[in-house]
Order: sequence, then structure tokens, then C-alpha cells
Amino acid sequence: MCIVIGMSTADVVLALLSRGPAHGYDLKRGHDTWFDQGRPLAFGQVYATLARLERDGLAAVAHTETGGGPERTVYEITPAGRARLAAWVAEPAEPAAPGADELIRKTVAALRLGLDPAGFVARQRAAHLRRMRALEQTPATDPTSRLVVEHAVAHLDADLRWLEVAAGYVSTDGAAAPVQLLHHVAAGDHSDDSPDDQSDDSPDDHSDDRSRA
Amino acid sequence: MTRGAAARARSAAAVVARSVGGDPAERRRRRLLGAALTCCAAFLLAAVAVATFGLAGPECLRTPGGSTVCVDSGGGYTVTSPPGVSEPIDDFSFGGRLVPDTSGLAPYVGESGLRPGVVVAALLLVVPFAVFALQVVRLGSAARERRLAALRLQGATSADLRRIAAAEVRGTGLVAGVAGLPAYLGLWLLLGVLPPSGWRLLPTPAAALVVGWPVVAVLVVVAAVLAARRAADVGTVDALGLSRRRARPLSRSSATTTAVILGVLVLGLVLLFLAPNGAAAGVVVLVLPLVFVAAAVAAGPWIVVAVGRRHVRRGNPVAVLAGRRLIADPRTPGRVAGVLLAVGLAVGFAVSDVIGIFLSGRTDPYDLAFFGGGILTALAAIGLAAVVAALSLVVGASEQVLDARRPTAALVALGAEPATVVRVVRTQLRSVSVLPAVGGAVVGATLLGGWFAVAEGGGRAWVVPAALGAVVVAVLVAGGAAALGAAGAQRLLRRPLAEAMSVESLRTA
Amino acid sequence: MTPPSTPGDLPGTPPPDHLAATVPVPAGAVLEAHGVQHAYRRTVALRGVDLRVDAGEVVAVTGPSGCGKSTLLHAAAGLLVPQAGTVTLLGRDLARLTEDERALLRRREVGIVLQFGQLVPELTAVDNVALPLLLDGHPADGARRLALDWLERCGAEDVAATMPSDMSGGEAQRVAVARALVTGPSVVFADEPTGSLDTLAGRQVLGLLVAAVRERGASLVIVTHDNTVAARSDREVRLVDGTVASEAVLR
Ligand SMILES: Nc1ncnc2c1ncn2[C@@H]1O[C@H](COP(=O)(O)OP(=O)(O)OP(=O)(O)O)[C@@H](O)[C@H]1O
Ligand SMILES: [Mg+2]
Repeated sequence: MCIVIGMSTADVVLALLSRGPAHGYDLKRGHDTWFDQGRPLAFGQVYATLARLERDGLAAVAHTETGGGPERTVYEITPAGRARLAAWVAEPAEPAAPGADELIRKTVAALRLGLDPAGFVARQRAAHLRRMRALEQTPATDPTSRLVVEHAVAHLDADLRWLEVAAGYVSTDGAAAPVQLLHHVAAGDHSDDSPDDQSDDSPDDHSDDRSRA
Repeated sequence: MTRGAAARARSAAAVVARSVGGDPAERRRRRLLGAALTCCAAFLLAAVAVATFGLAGPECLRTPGGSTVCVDSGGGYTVTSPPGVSEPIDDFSFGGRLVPDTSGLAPYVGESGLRPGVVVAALLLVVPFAVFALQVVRLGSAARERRLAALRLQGATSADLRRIAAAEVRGTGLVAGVAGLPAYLGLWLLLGVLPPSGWRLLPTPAAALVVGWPVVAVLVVVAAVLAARRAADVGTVDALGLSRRRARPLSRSSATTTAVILGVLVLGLVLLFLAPNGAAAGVVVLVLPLVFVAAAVAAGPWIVVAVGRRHVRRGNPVAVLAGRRLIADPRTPGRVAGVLLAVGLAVGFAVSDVIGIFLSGRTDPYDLAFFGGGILTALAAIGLAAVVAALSLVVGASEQVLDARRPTAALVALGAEPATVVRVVRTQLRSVSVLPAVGGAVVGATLLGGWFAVAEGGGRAWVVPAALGAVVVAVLVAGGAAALGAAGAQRLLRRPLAEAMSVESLRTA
Repeated sequence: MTPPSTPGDLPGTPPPDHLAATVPVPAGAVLEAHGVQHAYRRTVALRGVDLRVDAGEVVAVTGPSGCGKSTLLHAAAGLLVPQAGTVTLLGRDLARLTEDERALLRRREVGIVLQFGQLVPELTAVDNVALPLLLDGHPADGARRLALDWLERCGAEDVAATMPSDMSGGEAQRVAVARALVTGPSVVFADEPTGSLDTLAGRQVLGLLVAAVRERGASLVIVTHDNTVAARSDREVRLVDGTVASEAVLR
């Protein structure tokens, strides 16, 4: 599961550049430190991105280093680049669209086709919990990398709550269910109530939800 | 607050009070409160009946010889004889009919000099019932306290709460006050009709009762409402009472009250000591028991705190738990302890007295009947007070047990044997019953025994051993009775305790 | 600081024929529940549940509200005797022990943490923690010292002299954890120990509980609604409607 979903590489590189002039290797290292649970940034991608930024006038070549080893180009951010960075951070991220996720596709397919949906939900739950456990056990190297982990954990938790809703649909009849399941996702409803036990709901569940919101 | 707003708040209070009337715990609470207040009213009326007995006696009588004898205000009488008639008139001429008809009444009721003592005794008997009522009003049920806290959380002002609390007891108080007269009549049948002649304690109902009845009823309502308002005070019920119940330590004002009453008591004792035969002494002797009981009831909570602290210092878990529980809410058990202290003292007096009479060699049958009857009656009254006190204890303790259901169940889950939990409650009950009763008995028997010893001048060899014997017997009687009462209370508590210890209690809030 | 020496042998050690009568306990199993069934007046809470917990294992019991998690926990801890099935806790068939023997077992070998409201309201934190030791006849001074030690370990030394009514929910739970661990139990049962806390406080209390249990090599059975709590366990047992719906090894 990729953690840096929806985050464009160009914007991240711009963000890294805003700390001061840097060459491609610095930027890759910076990226991999920020997102140490994610996929490392490929060198090729760094240089392609830098070239694009330079073309758009968001970054510029500061100077070229030739000390000892191979020649290295040091880039710096331009005022236009800073403006773009500020605008990017200021703009809220687009919430994920319903149906965009592999998890949802598989669940809907399992429910629609009746392909052992209960078993599917149980296996998926175990997989999510295992991932969550692994994430929880990674030592926090610095504050923001811990934050990135937290984000992943929160997403896994949301998925798990949604899976509980799905499990509820498995145990009742599943005919028209998938459509409503998507509604749950779209409405951001991660409540763990299955439709038939809402009356049993204890008040602390609510406070729990609130503190999570 | 405008008049309209006040009226609205009052009607809201009435609605709350009425709507909770359906709750079974609340109904039980009201029944208990009603019964206790009715008994208070009945004994108040008994005091009225005895005190006013003879005041409306026959004013004039015609003698067989034709003279008219009228009682004058000074207690003497004036004789108006027809011309030529001269009758020797003395107290016995009219078969005692000049004084009210005391035939059949026990001597200490019949004789006007002793009557105030009986009035005081009747007033003293109001105390245990009042303590019981106070207990019911104060704690009521944990549910009630939570309800008040919930109201407070929703923005009820403390004035609203007091109003609601008052509305909750007003009706009960009124019914009880009115029921006081029928209850008194029942009491009269029991104590004024059924006993053989010469043993009757209550006179035939007279006009004074008709006047006394509404007064007593109003008194009962006012007392109940005042107590309820105090119990609903901000200090007692805060909004957080909903989620967390706090210990309610004794306040400075209750310390002041206790100190003042104790001061009055000491003052009375000093007066009595300095001028044992003065004019004031008679009044002091009568008022002193009332002051003493008031002092005991006021000091009771402090005694309970002291006992609790001692338990805590003992260090074993049962003692520590019992001690902490006593300290956490010493008021109710404290009042009961006060009553039992007074009971113990009275037992001490009575036992000492009996032993004194028998050993002093008085064999006059009239004397024996007089003292014997008086002491028997006193013992019956003491017993009644003790039983009522034990019942207060049951109400308070079951309250505490049910209130602490969840922690109690958690304690058992933690690995405390059920017997341990039972021992905690037993220690608690005994500390507030046996201990004060025995203490009172020791003090009472020693005081009176010492008095005898001094009065007899120590000339006779039996005085000191008899006084010591009296102490031992008094301790056995008072302690035994209190232990019995505690055991009875424990029995009545068995069910709430078992309920509190069950796993289901882990599910309660 | 060392935990108190292991408590002496329990009275009522099962006789040989009793041992033969039960399912032989696999080496390393702390808890073995077989076919546990239990019903309250109308509701069937458990319909034949098997649960095995190994020494040193952290097991999460999850499932929707009302599925019987608490009932299972109560049966496992010997707080209730189920109507059918056997529960073998630390090698002892709970149904064959008297109530007092079960109490003794819990006191010495088992720790229990509930969601809230488990502290004795009249005792300070340190007295609450010392209570299981005092009940077991340890001298008061030593018990209080040990209790203070555990309060410190649980980050609750600041409230040592505080009454439960004056503690925050998180502080009270820390004290409860200290109380559950002070006797050095071999197994700890926790029923929604973080259920009344906010995310951060809940995570801290949970981290504390899991770390302390793992450090001792004790077992932990934790009932929870919270997936992040379940994710701290070695194995998840999921109950639905009184039966085990799925089990997942997370290690
Ligand atoms: N004392 C009781 N009397 C009657 N029914 C009960 C009692 N205790 C529990 N139940 C019922 O038994 C079932 C299982 O209860 P249990 O408390 O074990 O569930 P749970 O999984 O712990 O639920 P939650 O997550 O809400 O705590 C529920 O349907 C409940 O209503
Ligand atoms: Mg539960």
C-alpha cells in the first residue's frame, strides 16, 4: 500500500527545494527521510521532475559543483516556485473518490459474485491488522515520519471500520448492498455499527468517534 | 426572578417530583419517610397529651354538703359554702377528684411533679425517628442524587434544586403530619387502654390534641422541607455527582454546631453540679437529656471519623476499607452512633439504678412498683430507639453498598473473597453500633454508680462492687443488644451485598 | 525493584483424578476454553466458544457490541461459571474450584482491568494499588512501597495520594493497570481498558499495559472495539453473535 497517495512528486520536490539549494541526490535523500515508510524516489524521476520545474520557471540552476567527483548541478527554487508551493499547501487535498480503491473493488466484487464474501472480509481484516501492527511497531525516527505512520494507521482503521460494515452486509442479504456500501465511503461514515445493532450502541462509542474525527 | 418565573420553576419542580414518584426505589423512600415522620408526629402528640394533661381539669365541684369548690390558678382552691354549712375541706375530701382523674395512669404520669420527665422521654423518642427520617431524606436513593445532579448539569440553579427537593417531601410530610393523630390514637390504645390500671402511660385524648394536631403537622412538614432543602444544597449535590461521587467530609459549620451543643451540655452539667437543689436545677435536669441527645447526635459523625481513622491505622485491608468507608460519609452512621450512644447511656443509668434500688434494701411494694415500672418502661423506650437506630443503619448501609456496586464487584474480580467484603460491612456496622452503645453504657453506669457511691458516703461495703457490677451488666446489655442489632442489619444487607458482588454489577455505571 | 515473590501454592490443588478428568493442558497454554456456552435470562451470549491463550501471548477479542466478549472474559477469569463447556486457567478447571479458590487464584495469578469505575472510591491511588497485596496478607509497608513503584512505572506517581473521584479517566486507568500488575500476574484480562479514554490517552495506557505484560512474559487477553488496540496483539479472535467468526495471527 502506497502511503503518498495523490501527492504529486513535483510539489514535494519543490517543497524540498524550498529549504535551500540542493542537487538531485540531496532531494532524493530528503524525500526518503520525509516518507520513510513509502516507496523511495527513483533518481530518474528526480531529474525528470527537476527538468520540468526548470522548464516551468519554478526552479532554476544555482551553480554546478565540480569538486573531485562527477559534475553535479545544484538547483534552487524561484519566486514563482515559492508562490506555487504556497498555493499547493494552501489548497486542501482532494478527498478520495468512491470506488477508486482496490479494496472497494474487491469487496464489491466478492459481495456481488458471492465469492466467499465472509472469508474475504476476514482475510482482508487480518491483512489490514497485520499491516497496522507492523506500522505501529516501526520506531519513530523523527516527528513527521511518525505522523506519516499515523496517517496510514488512521486509513487502515477507517478501512477496517468500513469492512465491519461490509461484514454486516455479508450476514444480512447482499443483493442491493454494494451500492449502499459505497455511500458509506462517500459520506465518510466509518461508524462501526452494523445496521441491526444500533440500539446496543453504548455512549462511549460516540465519544470515541468524536475524538477520532 | 419575576413572580411568573418563580411560579414556573415551582410548577416544574412539582412535575419532576411527581414524575419520579413512579420509580420503585423512590416509592419505597417515600413510604419509609412517611412512616418515620408519622411516628415523629405521634410521639410529639404524646408529649402534647401528657404535658397538657390536667390543665383543663374540673374547675369547680359541688360537694355532697352543698359547697362549691373551685380550683384557682395558684393550685389551691377556694370554698364557697351556703350559709350555715361548714365542711372541712382537704385534698382527700373529694377522692382526689379535684385534681384530674389519674386513676389507671402510671404514677409518673399521674403525679404532676414527675410528668415533665415523661414529656421529655416522649420528645427523646422522637429523636431516633427523626434521625431515621433525616437519613431517608438525605441519602434517599443514589438514583435520586444522580437525578438531582443531572438536573444541575442541565442548568437547574441551586434554588431550583432546593425547590424540587422540598416539593418531593412536602406531600409526604403533610400526609405524615395528618396521619400523626390516628397514629397517636393507636399508640394510646396500646399504651393508654390495653395496659392494666396503674401501668397506663397515655391519658384519655383531650381537647389539647385537637389544637396540637395541626401544629405538629405543620412542624413535621416544615422540618422535612428544611432537611430536604439542606440535603439538596449545592455542596451536597454538584453537577459532577452524575459521573463521580465524592467523599463528603464534615464541614466547619457542623463542627461549630457540635461545639455549641457540647458547650450547652457542659454548662448544664456545671449548673447542676454547683446548685443541685436550686430552682434552676429542676429545669436543667429535664432539659439536660434533650441537650445530651442533641450533643450525641451532633458529635456522632466526629466519633465515627475518629473510629474510622483508628481502623485505617490498623492496616489490615478489612479494617482499612471499613475505616475509609466510614470516613467517606460519616454523617448518617454518625447520627445513628449518636442515638446509640444515648441509648447506651440510658441503659447504663437504668442498670445502675436497678442494682442500686435492689441493693439499698428498699422493700416497700409501692416503691418497687414505682421504680420497677418506670425502669421497665424506660427500657422498652430504649429498646424502641435502638431498633429504629438499627433500621437507619440498614437503610444507610444498603445505600452505600448499592452505590458502590461497581467497585465492589471489581474488588471481587480482583480476588477479594466474598467473605472479606462481608467482613468489611460488618466491621463498619459494628463500629457505629456496638462501640458507641458500649461507650455510653460505661459512662452512664459509672456516672450513676459513682453518684450512688458518693451519696452513700462509701460507708457500705457493697457500694463499689455494685457500681462495678452495674458497669459490667450495662456493657453486656447495651453491647449485646447493639451486636444483635448489627447482626440483624447485616442479615437485611445480605441481598444488596450479594447483588453488589455479582458479575452483573460490573456492567452498571 | 522486583515483583513480589511468587505466591505460595493455592489450597485446593486439583487431585490427580481431577487432572485426568480434564483435557490435558498443552504445554504453554495459560488458558484453555472449550465449548463455552452461556445464556442470560433470554439472551444467549456464548454459543460454544473455544479459546486458547499461550504463555506470553497477547490476544485481542473483538466483535460487534453484544457479541459476548465481556461474557467470555468473565468466564475466562472465573468471574462466572458458564452453563456449558470447560475453562482451564493456569492448569485449573475453574468449574471445580470453589468461589473462594477462584478468588485466590485471581488475586495471585490474574490481573483485571475494566473500562472504568473499578477503583475503590474511598481509597487513594496508592492504597488501591496496594489492596491486592494487603488482601493477600503482605505487610502494609512493603505493599505500599511496591504500589508506589508500580504507580511510577505506569506514570501515575503524581496521583498517588489522590482519590479516584479526583482523577482524570486516563489517570484512573493508569492506576487500574498498576493495580492489575502489582501482584505479578501470569495473565491479565482487560475489558475495553481504553474504551473511556481519548485516542492519545488510550494509546498511552494500552502501550503501558502491553509493554508491562510483555516484559514479564505474562499473557494478556484484551477485549476491544478499537482496531488500533487489536493491532497491538499477537492474535485476534473475532466473536460474532456468540461464536468465533474468525481468528487471525498477526505476529
Ligand atoms: N446480566 C445480563 N442479563 C441479561 N442479558 C445480558 C446480561 N449481560 C449481558 N447480557 C446480554 O448478553 C449478550 C452479550 O453481552 P456481552 O456484555 O458479553 O457483550 P459484549 O460483546 O461485551 O458487548 P459490548 O461490546 O457492548 O461490551 C448481550 O446481548 C447482552 O445484552
Ligand atoms: Mg462488553
